[in-house]
Amino acid sequence: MMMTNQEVLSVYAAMGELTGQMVSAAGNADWDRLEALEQRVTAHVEKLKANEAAIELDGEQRQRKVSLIRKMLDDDRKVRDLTMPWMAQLSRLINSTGAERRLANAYGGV
Amino acid sequence: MATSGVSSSTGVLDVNGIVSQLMQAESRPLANYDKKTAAFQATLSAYGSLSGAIGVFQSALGGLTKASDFKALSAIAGDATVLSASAGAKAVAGNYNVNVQQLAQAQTLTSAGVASSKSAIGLGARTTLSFQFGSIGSGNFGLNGTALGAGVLSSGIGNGALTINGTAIATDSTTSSARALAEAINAKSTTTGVTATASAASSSATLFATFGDIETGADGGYTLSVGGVQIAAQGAGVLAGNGVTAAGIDAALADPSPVLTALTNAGITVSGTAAAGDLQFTRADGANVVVQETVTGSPAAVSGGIGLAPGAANGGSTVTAGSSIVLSSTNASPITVGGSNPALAGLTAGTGGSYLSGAFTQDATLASGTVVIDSTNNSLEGIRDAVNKANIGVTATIVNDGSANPYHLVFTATATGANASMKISLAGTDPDPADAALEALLAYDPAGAQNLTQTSAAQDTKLSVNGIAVSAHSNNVSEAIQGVSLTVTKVGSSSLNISKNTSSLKENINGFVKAYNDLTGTLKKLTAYDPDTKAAGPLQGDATAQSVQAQLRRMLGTSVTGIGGSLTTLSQIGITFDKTGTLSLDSGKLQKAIDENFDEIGALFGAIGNTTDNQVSFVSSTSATKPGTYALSITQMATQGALQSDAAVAPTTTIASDTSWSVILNDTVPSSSSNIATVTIPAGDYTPEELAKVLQSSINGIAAFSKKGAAVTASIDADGKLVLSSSKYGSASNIALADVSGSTVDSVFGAATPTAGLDVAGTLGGHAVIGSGQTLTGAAGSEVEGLKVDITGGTTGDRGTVSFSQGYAYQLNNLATTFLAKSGLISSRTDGINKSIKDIASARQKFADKLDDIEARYRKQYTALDVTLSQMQTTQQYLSQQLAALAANS
Repeated sequence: MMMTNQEVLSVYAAMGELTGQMVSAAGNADWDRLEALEQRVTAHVEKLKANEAAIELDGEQRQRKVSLIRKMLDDDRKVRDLTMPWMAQLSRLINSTGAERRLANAYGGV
Repeated sequence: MATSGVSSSTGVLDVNGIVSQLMQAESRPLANYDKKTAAFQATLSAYGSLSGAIGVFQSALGGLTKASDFKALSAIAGDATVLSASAGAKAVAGNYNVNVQQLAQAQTLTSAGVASSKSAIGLGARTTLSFQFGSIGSGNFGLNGTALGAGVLSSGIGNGALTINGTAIATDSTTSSARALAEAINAKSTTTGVTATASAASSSATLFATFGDIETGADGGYTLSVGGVQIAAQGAGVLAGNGVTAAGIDAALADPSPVLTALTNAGITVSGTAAAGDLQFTRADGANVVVQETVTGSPAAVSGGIGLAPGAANGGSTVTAGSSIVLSSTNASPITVGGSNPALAGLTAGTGGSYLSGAFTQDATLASGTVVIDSTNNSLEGIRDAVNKANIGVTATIVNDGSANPYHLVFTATATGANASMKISLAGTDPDPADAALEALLAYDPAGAQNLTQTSAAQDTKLSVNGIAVSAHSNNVSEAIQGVSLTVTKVGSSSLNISKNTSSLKENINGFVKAYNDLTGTLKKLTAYDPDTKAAGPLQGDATAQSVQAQLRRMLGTSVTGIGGSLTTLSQIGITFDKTGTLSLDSGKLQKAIDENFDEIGALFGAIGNTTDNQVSFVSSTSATKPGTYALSITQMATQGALQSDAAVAPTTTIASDTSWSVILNDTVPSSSSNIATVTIPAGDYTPEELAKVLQSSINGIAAFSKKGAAVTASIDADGKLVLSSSKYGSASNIALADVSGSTVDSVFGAATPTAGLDVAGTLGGHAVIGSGQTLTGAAGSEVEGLKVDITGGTTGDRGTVSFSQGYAYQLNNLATTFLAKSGLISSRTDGINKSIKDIASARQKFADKLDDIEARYRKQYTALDVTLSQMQTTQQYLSQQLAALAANS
């Protein structure tokens, strides 16, 4: 099935909408929602990979596509930025409890 | 924690690593649980050490809880090969001389030889073999000789003719009477162990059956003498009837007369009369009796006389009457007769002997028993096995002496003592008699047929203590000296020293001090702070451990009450606490107490009970019994279950062959077959006393009863009635009889009704008691709880007092028992700790379960995030490519 130019652009628009929601999910540490949103994004990407190569966009349409891609890359960076402090916190947790964990292992279960 | 099954190799995050490290943080409280558990377990193991120490303490005290343990006496024999001894609590210190003359021995009877030990004896008729035990009265064991021959009476017995038990008897031409022979034999008695008694020698009872009046011619003369004593004489020229006549002889022998006096002086007694023709002269000592007629003058100058009609010429006569001897073995062993011609002495070569005119008296205290021999077991081996299996106080063996009929059955009584001689009687099944061949082989009655040979006699131990003769049925002699048990092992004499065993007393007291100090040492280690190691004992500040320590201290600080002796505190015998709470013993003070109050020291340590009535005895107490003195009042004496005949027993009671009764002894409700057994009563004619004995012994021979200690006594009461009673006392005591075969129960007891026994009843110190048989036990919950006394005799009413005290070792032992009891101080504490450990374990488990949930949630999230991030990466790459493509085309 061939996509029309309009259809390609509306896919990008839908993806942009989704990545925006991902930023908000990551901000709320709602990892389940983040995952679900990302799956939907991936589904769109798969669709684009199959069809987009044969589509020629005109100037306005290209402008629209560029701005949508920029927004999505921006959202991607925001999502990563939101996970980094959490990862850092986790890392600290790991480093400080290693000794205690060894003690617990020595006594084992009762 | 389980590891995730999700692969993370392609992801941007190490999910397993992150989750497991995250969980380490979450599980930090687990270590706290484990720390708490470890602390509780350390306390628990400290309590284990404490329990162990109390257990050791308790076992050390175990041997010190009886006052008698402290009153030990030592018994030391001067010659340990003669006897050994042990002294009990009732013994009195002193020196004794013990002279053992004879050792106890069991009777052995041996049968005649039989060709085969396996082939049948007799025809197999059902025969009951009854073994009874008793004493043999008045009967010598030995041999009866036959009358000495005429040749011996005139010319004696040549030397070498006779040996007894291998010893030659010195005989010669002067050994011409039973008396002389007996003297010769008795001269060797110490060697042979055999004594001889000469039977009385009597002239023939018919010697004077005919006595013609003596007539003498002008030169005739006649004298009649007996044993050299002239009885009658007639001078010359006397017509018959005017001189010596039968009546005249009798007149001369009429008491008093010089002739009779002379005869008596010569040891001759007179019986019968010449007139009646039965005049007889007897010498009790067995010397020969010589009746001599001497005639003088021309032939036929004398007529008439002994054995002659009046007018028949008398040429003079000499009649010598001899007798026989009886051999007796001093130890009732068979006698061996030998020599070149023992027949001269009236004896037969060979070994033998039996009870001569013996009498058998059954001993009712020894159980009797019966064995049935029939066609299935009527061989020597069959009889042997049947007797041994029946376990009736007799051991049967077969010996082979290598002769033509080599097999002999040997019966040995199990019990030693003169009261344990056997009587073996055989009876058939009424109306059939016992098998004749078995009867001929095995019947043995010391008062009758002795078809078995006694090879070893039943005999008592005989000894004297300081010159006082004592006999006992076995070689273990108790109470010959009060409180002392002797075991004699050899004939001989020995001194016996009974003295206070102060070393065992000191050992016990040192043992007590050490046991206490060991326990407090352990307690200290567990509860104290060690300034050197800076470590606290695991029970430092523990209330339970402190309570144990305090209770021990308090008990030792309280004086002993109840009996009221002069010793009531440990310090009186030199045991005191030092500064550190350790007991120490002042041996000088202890020695002084031993010297002055030896008998009372025991009461300081052990439990002791005294009664004022000698038919009331203290048995035991429990930890719940309070020391004190309690008045005893009896409202009902214990009685035995009994069966009394309804009338006096006949002078002779006949028990028929094959008489068996069913005996129900101490039966329960519901009835138990183990209380019912069949008794076989030996057939015979019995006096009332014999009947009582045979009943008692027969019933007590029942293995089913003796195994569980059930027994009966039978006696004849003042009214001549037969009373059969259970030896047990109380409500569980009863007895009844029922017919099985032979003579009926009614034929002996009439219409008698059994009466059941009663338990003793009363009060102790006014408190309720529980009576069982003769034993009263204080009821639970009262001061006298568990105090046990036996009332063995007397009547109802006030029976004096029972005093009871508990010494320190006894009390501490009880205290230790309560410490260690299931619901005691220590286990209730350790139970609590164990419960806490369990609670922690379950809390820990709950927490661990929760951790598992947390982990699962984390793992799921991280796995999802991992995938999400990697897809975001893909998306980002794609979008970047698109952006780059747009820039290139524009």
